[in-house]
Amino acid sequence: MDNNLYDVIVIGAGNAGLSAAATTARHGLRTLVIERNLLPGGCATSFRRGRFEFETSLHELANVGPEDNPGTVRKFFEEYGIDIDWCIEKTAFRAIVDGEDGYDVTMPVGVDAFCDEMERQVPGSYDSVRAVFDLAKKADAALAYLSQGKPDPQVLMTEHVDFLRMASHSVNEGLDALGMPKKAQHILSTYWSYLGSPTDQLDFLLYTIMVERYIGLGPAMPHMRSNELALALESSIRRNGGEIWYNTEVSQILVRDGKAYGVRIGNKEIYAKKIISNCHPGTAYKKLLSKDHIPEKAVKLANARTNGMQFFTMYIGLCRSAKELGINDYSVFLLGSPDTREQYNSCENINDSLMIVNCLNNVLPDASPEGTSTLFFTTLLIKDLLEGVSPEEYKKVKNNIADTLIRRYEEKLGVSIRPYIEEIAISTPATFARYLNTPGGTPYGYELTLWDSMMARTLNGKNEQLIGNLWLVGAHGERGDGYNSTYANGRCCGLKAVREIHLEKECE
Amino acid sequence: MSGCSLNSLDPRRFMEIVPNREKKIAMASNEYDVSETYANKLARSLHPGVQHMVVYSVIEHNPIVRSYVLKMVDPLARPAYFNAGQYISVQIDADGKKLCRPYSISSSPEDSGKGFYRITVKLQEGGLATEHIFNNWSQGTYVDVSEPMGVFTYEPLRDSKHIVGVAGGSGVTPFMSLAKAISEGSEDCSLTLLYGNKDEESILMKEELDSICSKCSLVKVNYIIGNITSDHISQALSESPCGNNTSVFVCGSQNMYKYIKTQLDAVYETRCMDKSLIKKYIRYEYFGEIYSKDSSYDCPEYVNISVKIKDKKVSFTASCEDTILRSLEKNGIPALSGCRSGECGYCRSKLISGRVYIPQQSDGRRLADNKNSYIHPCCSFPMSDIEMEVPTVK
Repeated sequence: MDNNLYDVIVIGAGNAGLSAAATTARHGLRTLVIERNLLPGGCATSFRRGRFEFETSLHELANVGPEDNPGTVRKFFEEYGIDIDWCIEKTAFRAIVDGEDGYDVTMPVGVDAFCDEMERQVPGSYDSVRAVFDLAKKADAALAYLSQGKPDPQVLMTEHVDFLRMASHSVNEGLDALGMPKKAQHILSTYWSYLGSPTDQLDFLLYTIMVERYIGLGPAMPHMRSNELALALESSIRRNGGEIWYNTEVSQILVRDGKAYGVRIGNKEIYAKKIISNCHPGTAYKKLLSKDHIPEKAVKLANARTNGMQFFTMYIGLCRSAKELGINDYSVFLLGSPDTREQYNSCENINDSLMIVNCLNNVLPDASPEGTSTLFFTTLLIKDLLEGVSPEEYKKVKNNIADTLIRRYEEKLGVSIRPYIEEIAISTPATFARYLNTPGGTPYGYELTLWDSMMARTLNGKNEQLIGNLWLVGAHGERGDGYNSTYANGRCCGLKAVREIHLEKECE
Repeated sequence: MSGCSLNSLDPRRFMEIVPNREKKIAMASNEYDVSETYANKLARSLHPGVQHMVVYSVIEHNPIVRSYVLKMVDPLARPAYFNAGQYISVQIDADGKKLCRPYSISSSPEDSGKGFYRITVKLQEGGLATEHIFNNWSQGTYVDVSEPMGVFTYEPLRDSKHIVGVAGGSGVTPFMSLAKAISEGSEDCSLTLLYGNKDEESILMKEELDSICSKCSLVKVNYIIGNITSDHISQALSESPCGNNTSVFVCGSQNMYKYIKTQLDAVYETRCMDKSLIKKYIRYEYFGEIYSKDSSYDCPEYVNISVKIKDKKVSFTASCEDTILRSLEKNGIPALSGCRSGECGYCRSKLISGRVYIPQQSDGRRLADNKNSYIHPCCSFPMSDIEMEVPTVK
């Protein structure tokens, strides 16, 4: 057997790459994953500082559900023989919003409880909010129908007409159509930043599905950070005979006659029947493919799209418990305005940008040693904050930003954390860029919008597979960013590879 | 059910999704733009991976301590900027043995802008790497080094504005960098350094330190012959503008740390300081190489270690008294390492089968690493035959 020939090579061990490889390996395909960093997971990892272990990116994982009512993600891991210790959250989020129409609400998990609380906060909103969860079920039914292949437009129009509406209208259009009171719309829209698109451009379909996955089944956190998920997938890949090479960078994807047939690493060539790349298309096109192998349409597609939002995060270890500090929520959204487009625009400067602050100890009681606690700060940016900042100024600039965010948090929540900071690590877009190798370090692929929505990407998928035997998976994929989306994207692609290779074998 | 419905939305818009998308693509520019965002450029500048350097000059401080000034092989390039207190991992090829050793950068961040790093190396008796360096490195020797690494740095949001440094012998190197950085203005803190040596002759870079102190009132050095005691530390805290809330940074040998801990405990007691803040204010640089297990248990004297790197496999016999990393190095296997103290994770490798012993205080692994059999070979001792996988060195 040719040692240099694999069934599938996966470039990049991010969530999508790992789930694609876990899928192909499990189906008996000879699989090789090549990762340029020392660790798997991309965003899904953690790091130690002193006596703390910080989660790098996961805020909450949707679609896990309790053991007796498992969601897709729990089932996915179980199917791959992976045993994860999940901790289900009881609260969805707390949102503190400034301004005249501001509010401070804490929303529970569970559809009934959520709708009841909404009615309490916004009398008269119950029916429309409930309707959103009912629509999520319709969306699932429609997606199941579509996945059987060869959808009949007649059937879609008669039996899945609401799905057609959701897929082709924005969240705002959908919620207006339902007659939802504005304040309820605002509260329901709190999660938009998980998808990186404000609700006047984000499709109603993807947002509804996401909200239902969080509220319906209850979001969860893995006991040992997202690193546990990455390593579990990696173990699954190895168990099924797959290989993973770390600290190894692919320098080129080999293409001949419009078809990919392998990769180059240094001066060595390795071949495969299918290549799955977990790189951002920008990276794939600029670094891994020579200009003459990139079809014009691929270039135009990349130029038409907008790169996803950039991140600035902070990880703080405190030598006081959350209780002592008066920090009682797991997840708090600090928003300058109730309107999501205004929130998006505020992400132009660090004094107003939206912030999400998570205290893991309020979900995992032993997230840090007794008498200590951790805080994970996230803010999103639409401008290149670091433009023109030299390496010499970098430390001062990032510390000034961190200082601003801490001050805003302390003021808003009425707590004091500064005297108790035992460990602090600050990640800027440059940090993300280093690990993810995406434009501006975005973990969000491309910005979702109505022409670049979940269904737009899915329906046009075949017209956009422009190089044979090469698939691009990741946050830029069909379901957008997020752990759920990228696991699904990778798995789906893995199954495609399995089907095609089996078909090709039969034809031989 | 209620009157809530989406009936006012036109479902036929769905049919326009694909045509709209194709239209957007067709209208887009076909310009093949390879430019990067600034964040990506900055990332590459701060984290270049391997740096190809060459020894520019050698300074002999005394028979067993030398400094090496390293410049980039490419005369137009400058080494990556760093924060005072960081180190680089230096690759050494000693008669076919591929070694990595961490050395604190003793030059300042501003010096990297001028094109060089300086590292200060102490000859260890029987030390593979330091013997090779002393016998082979001279002007013109090529050296590959890592990008700057490490967290023994001043962090304005965590540390007090005044730092009391406690250095033992060659542990002064990161403080050299910090002192210079303060005097140059690239760090915003002040420093009182307690610098302990066994005798006057062992004091390193005294002229340089004295020069910095005379030029910059933010840096003070107290040269101590013999042990640094709780009295010295207490005195420094009394003189500190931050009083009891003063950060203490310690750098020296493993033995020195054991001793200093007792002195600091005494200081905290006598000054009634808040012990819950100890881990916030007291910092230790990684103590480096772990030479012996601190525990005795039953295991064979020698074991077989089988290593897989990418698609290659190698086997050899190893002593249970050596860390797995040292065994890998002794057998010519290029194994990446950084701090060599169990913390940084650079040497992280998969244990496929077999058992290892890891001294508790050196176990810097993450929770899931432990669950999934990932080890840090630099602080792991084999207890049985083992099979493992090691990442390649780029």
